[in-house]
Amino acid sequence: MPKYFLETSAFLKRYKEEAGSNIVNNLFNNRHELFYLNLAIIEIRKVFYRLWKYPLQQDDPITEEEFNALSSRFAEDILQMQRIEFTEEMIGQAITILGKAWVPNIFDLAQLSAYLIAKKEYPDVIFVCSDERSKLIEGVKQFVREGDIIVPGGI
Amino acid sequence: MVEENWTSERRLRYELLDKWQWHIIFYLDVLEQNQADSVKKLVLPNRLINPLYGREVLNQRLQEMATGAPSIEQVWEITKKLPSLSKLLSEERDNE
Repeated sequence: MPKYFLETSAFLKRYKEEAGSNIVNNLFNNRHELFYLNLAIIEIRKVFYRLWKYPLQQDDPITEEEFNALSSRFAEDILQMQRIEFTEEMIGQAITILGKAWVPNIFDLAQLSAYLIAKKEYPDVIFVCSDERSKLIEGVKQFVREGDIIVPGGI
Repeated sequence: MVEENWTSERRLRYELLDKWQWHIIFYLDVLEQNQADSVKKLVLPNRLINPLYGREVLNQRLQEMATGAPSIEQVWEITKKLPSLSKLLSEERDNE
């Protein structure tokens, strides 16, 4: 069964119809093994909370009911997926990554680190990432073949 | 103990020594306690060292949250008015 590691930026494409969201939804609809890092729960819920309770000036806030609907869909999704725990081995891996590539954001670093550890166990796992601005995609290319990366929505 | 036949000088010396002895004993006690404290290692509770601590509670929370989840099409209706969530995430990450 094909395996995919959903980085948070790609994961979020599932909840908004936009460029790349069909690719992500197909991963959910077909028989695939989907992995995510436990820290993604915080990142995704944080985006939902921002939209509801902490909107910025330019944001159009969502209602509590809409927030609950998003949260509910997300919870249902992750219960079907494989949750990877952030471990101390991954801290070591993150330090190794920094020796080779500059990944400035701590969550990006944690995601890449978790993916590389997961890849040691499952060499065929594909990294799915849509973060357009981050150094994450550049970073991951330092460690795996381009064929091991999918970028829904392009860069 | 002070004897009745002691000279006043001897009596004074004895009292001074007696007084200092308690100071010294007290000081040694404190020193011993400090050494014992520095040797004793703090044993952290499970919740601070086990990454899986709280997993059941989190899973239960997710189960409850997942009840009655809408379809993805319904979610898209909600987020139709919103900007790209991936872009929001990028902003959030840039702010960290």
